[in-house]
Amino acid sequence: MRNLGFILALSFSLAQTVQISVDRSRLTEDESITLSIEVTGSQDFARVDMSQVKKDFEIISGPGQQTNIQWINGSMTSTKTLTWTLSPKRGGTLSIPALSGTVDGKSFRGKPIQIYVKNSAESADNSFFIVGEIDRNKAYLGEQITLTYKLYKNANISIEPFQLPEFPGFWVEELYTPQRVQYRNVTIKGVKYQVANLGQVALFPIPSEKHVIPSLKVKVQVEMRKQKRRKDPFFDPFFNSFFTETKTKVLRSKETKIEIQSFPEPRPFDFSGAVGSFKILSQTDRDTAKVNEGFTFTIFMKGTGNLGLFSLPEIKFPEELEAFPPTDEFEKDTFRDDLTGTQSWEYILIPRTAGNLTIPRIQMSYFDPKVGRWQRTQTDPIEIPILPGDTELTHGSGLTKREIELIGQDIRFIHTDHVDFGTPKKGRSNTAIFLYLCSILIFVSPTFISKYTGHRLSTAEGRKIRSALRSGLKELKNGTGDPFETASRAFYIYLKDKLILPSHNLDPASVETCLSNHLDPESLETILTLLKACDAGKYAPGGIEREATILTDMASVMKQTDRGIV
Amino acid sequence: MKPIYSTLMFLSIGLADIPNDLFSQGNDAMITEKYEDALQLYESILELGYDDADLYYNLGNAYYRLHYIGHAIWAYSNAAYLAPRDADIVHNLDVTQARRIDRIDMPEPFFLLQMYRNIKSNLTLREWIILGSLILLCQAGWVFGLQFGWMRGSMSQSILTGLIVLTLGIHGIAVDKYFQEIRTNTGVVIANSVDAYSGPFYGENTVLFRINEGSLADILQSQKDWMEIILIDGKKGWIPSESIRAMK
Repeated sequence: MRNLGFILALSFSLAQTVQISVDRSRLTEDESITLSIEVTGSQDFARVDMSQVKKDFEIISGPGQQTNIQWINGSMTSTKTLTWTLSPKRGGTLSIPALSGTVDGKSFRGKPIQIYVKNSAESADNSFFIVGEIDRNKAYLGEQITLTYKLYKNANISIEPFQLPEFPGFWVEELYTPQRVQYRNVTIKGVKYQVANLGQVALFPIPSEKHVIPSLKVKVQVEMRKQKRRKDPFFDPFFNSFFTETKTKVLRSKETKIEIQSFPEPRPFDFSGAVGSFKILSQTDRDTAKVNEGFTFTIFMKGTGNLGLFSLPEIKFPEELEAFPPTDEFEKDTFRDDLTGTQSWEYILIPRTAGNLTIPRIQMSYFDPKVGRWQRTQTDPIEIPILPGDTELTHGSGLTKREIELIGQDIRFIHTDHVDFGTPKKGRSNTAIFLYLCSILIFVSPTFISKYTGHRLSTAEGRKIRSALRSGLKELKNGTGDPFETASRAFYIYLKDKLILPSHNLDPASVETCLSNHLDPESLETILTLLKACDAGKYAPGGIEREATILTDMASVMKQTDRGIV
Repeated sequence: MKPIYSTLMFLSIGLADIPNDLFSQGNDAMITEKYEDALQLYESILELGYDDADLYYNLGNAYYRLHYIGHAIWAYSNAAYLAPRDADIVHNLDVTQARRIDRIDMPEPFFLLQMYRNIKSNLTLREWIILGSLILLCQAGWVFGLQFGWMRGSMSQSILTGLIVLTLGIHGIAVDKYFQEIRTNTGVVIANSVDAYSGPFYGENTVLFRINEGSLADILQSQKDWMEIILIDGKKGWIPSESIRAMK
């Protein structure tokens, strides 16, 4: 009964029976149970969804397949059994939920099974245990954490084949996997143990919600003497030593949480996730190349850190080059605990035009967790002269002239003339300010000039008034014909300009009305007599004696008038 | 008393000679192909606060020889700003720009606009202002002459009109250039494969585009270690400040 704690028989057809059973329903945390699904009379094994079981249990091994064929009274029964070894994840009352699945295309559903798991006392057994040793609790993203699982024992146990757990949230690089478990002796707190290295991995945290190093579960066979042997008359205690019982136990290491440190800000722009210590180099396999002749360009990255977890910044080759996707190679240095090695990328480049080619500089920033700072490594640009290809040389012979061939394009040489640096940073131009001030001065100056001299400068009228006397005198001098006529016309022209009259067809009467406001009666009288004399001379002969002096008289009168008129 | 004067004189001469000394040392270093030394010497003159088109030009050559395309374009652009009609500067800027990786296309502007831009960029702001003030001076003289009656006739009147139009036009261009310089803050990308993000930090932000050395971008704003840039074709994004160098 003990070995068949629960049997759930489900007969859903005449021929097929499904039994879901566990080998026991009470156990301690470090023990395991076997779950088996037995199908009788089917063609195939049952297909079961085990994902619900994983909530409370860990599947240590399975499914194992087993087929039994029995002949009873001439009829054949075949039994196909699937078995799993399960290990409880915690203490308390656990349940294997109702399993559902199909067999031969028909579905079945079992019932839940209750399992009682006793908490194993911590100090119960110190004679064998597993530890997961890590070299650090805090790490940056991408910083290596070295994890070593070790088995300590001082009892006689043998371990069954095991697998390292999955490491969610980490990128894993295996450093050491034992082919055969080897033990060496150590003493811890006065107790002698044998220690075996069960495996060493380098873990690199990748962005994830949590970073927990999972526990390693190993099934071990513990040999123990049977304590309660019946008193058997055939065996005396001497034989007891031969009769040992093996017991299966599951050993677990503790889970460890890793604290992720954040990178110091600001991050360099060319940081692509490299953490550790790196150096990049680049080289080409030759110094010169010909057009259409490929050469290789290799970038080496040597260093310690999360090699393989990041990529190089993208390289932009010049357009004259055809680049093929690189081959990627990684050489691991196996003699070190830290992941060290050389990663290389090999490009095949084919130049398409002649001239000087420059393969650009490659630079990369990485975080050095040892010093806690950003570092940068870069290669030097490589310059390669590309010679014209052989095929091009065949044509272009003969006497034909060609255009000057531009072999390459380059910048012009520096300016070496003496430079007058002057004073640093003069913000404005004094020349411009001076010129503006001059212009403003010239613009406003006529106003001041007219104010001081009393002249009306700004209009054509003003100019006419100013030149009235001049034009009058000019008329006197140039006038031809009758001197009386000339003298009077000159005076009328003068007056018209001076007083801005519409016409110079005047007579002594209108002159009197015009000038009465401007001149004193005495000088007005002089003018009128002179004008009248002119009229008289014009129309009546006899004024010969006036004829000689009339012009000079008129000139002096005009000047006098000009002074008199305000 | 005399020694003090001579010391003062010596000092002032010495001060004036420092940038020239550095400059000629830099030129010597360029000739002997010690580009790194030359670059440092030239940069130290800039740090002293001096600037000059030839200095930027030589600095650009040093950067070009060391294959810092972004820095070279930065230096040549500054040189071209100070001396827009220097053929060597324009040539070297063209050669350097041909070597940059990104090609950012912009719609071809209307030809009159293009012509206006060419004319505008042909003179520096200071030259425009000096030209404007000279024309204004001519105009003032002409008006003065007209007022005193030394020049007459419809001919001189139309010359005056022409001068007024010219003055207004030149000052308009100068004002346009002035505001253009005040408003825009251009920078040159100095690193390769710079990712432009949608916000000023890493994390949730998406990479919008990737730009390379030598691309010109206008800097809109900066925040801590980030700058928001806009490319001439209108793409906007945030890039780390150390990957862009703003024009002087």
